[in-house]
Amino acid sequence: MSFINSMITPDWKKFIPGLILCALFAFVVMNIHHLLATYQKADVASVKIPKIEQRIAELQKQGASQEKLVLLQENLGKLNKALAAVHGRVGQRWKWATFLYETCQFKYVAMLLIGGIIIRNTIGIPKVFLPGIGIARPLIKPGIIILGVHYVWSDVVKVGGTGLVLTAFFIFGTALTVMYVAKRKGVSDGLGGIMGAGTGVCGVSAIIATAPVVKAKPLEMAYAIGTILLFGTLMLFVMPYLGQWLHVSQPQFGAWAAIAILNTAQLIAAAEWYGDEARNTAVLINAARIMLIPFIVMYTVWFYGLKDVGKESTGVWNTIRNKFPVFILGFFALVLLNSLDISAFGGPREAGTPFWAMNAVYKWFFALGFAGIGLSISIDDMKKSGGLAFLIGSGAATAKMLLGLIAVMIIGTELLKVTGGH
Amino acid sequence: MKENTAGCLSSEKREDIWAIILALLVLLFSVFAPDLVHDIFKKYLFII
Amino acid sequence: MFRHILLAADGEDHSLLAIELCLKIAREFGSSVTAIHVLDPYLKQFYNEIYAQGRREYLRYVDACLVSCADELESSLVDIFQELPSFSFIRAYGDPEKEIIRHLHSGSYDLLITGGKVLSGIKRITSWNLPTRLEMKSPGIPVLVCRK
Repeated sequence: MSFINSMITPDWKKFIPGLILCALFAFVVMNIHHLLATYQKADVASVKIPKIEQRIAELQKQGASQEKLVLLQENLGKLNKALAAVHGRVGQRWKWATFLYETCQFKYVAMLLIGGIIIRNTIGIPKVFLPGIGIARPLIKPGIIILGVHYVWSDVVKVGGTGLVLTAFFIFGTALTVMYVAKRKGVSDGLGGIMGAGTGVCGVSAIIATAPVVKAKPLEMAYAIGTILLFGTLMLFVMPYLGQWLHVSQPQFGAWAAIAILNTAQLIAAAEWYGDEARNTAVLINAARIMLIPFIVMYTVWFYGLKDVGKESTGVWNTIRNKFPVFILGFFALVLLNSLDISAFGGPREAGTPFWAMNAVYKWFFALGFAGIGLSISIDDMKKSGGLAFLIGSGAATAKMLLGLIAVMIIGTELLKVTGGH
Repeated sequence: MKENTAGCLSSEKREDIWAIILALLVLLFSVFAPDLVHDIFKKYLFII
Repeated sequence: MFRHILLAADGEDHSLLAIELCLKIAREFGSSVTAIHVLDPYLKQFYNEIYAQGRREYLRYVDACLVSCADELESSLVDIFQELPSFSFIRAYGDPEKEIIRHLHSGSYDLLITGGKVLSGIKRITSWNLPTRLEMKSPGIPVLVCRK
């Protein structure tokens, strides 16, 4: 009973208005996304159908194999279905949809984040909604757990292994460099510590975890949080377009985002925005990354030679237990279930199976979470960035972006691609 | 001030456990009615 | 002329000049001084960042920082202003701008003294920092901003 009680906060009612707002916002945006996608598909189909029909006719004349024809006919059927969805006919165009959806990449992630930022920073959010918006953000977590159905252990070993080496290298590389340079330049331990952890692991989440340990001053924390939010948000909007421009493959982009984007909330958003394969890679590497939070805290304690940290967090085991993100266990449990290849569960691409049904749900959790993230990005917070934190943050952000890009280019697509098995 | 702090006691663990519970619920529904779950989230929720 | 002065102090370096000036003016006019220090819970709103771990420790730490900062300031101000006939120290909790303006409305103050950073270049025009906002929103009470 006490467990159930502890799962519910006594003041849970204060979360309801904000949650309803996020749900409404997510619902509207998802529908707009759906509409755009439908018309974009119809636009593509309208152009492709005559070409495929011509190709089928040619192949029939040449007496090509039945196999090839069946494949093309299947494709044709899909395109006709897409066209029929908008009651269109061949030759009719919906260029606006292709422009918005393809060229501008105006997908639900972008709409929720940009829309949220605009709403928050122009008309503002009344206070009653704020607690609920805060609680909407972690709804990404069940979405991430559900995404576990996309992986099998061989993926975890291959991509996660590569990712783990990559993230460990970048995390400890960044943290080490930032803390070392900061110490040499006479920056206070507090600021050097939180900036090292913040630019290294998970941005604001890592600052929250390390600030009490390194005894950062409030002003330093405000600077550091502002800087991380500023660069995290900047990278979220710059990297997907940069990636497209540089023709970075989806799995490569996923890895790039997972190592370079300073703030973790923004990381999944950028990868989901870029595409499904990018998201699959990013979620896995991200899982590796957030599991490193307790270790970065221990590293910080060791680096600054801190001992008196308070009763709660002394000892290696206690630090890991207190600072380990538990939900990641749910994710790996699903990966395990998927790896066992139990036919009753099926897979995300096998229609009519439980995992296929689950795969339909995750986007809604993400939409709710992104609504919360968008609505809580305040430009005023970013304006607080400044001082030394800004210098350190901009240096680390640029270095990680460039070195991360070089690293994923060298590693190549294959090692970073999630197969999903089956 | 203290009241405010007490209200958020170890909220990260609570959040994580809720995430696992929600994912479990989705798994449960998906096992018993996969088509219904799929249709709700892929069809019925899109009204335009 | 100035019977009751409100001194807004945050304990940062740039408010030292404001404190010094406040003392001089109070001596000159025999004014009573009320110092207000606002404990700004701004940092606490970040506690539930998505993967943040150790939130309880973080919130406790921020609270402890705010309280120890207020304690330090109070004891040093009590020292500095002990020669005055009347000095009091108020702790408020919330948004500094709102709290200071609320106190200006509620008390019978006739001068607000606060510190501020020296702004250079473009920031002179674009900065919308606390002293500037206090000047704008003061209910007809003169505001003295000591920038350092």
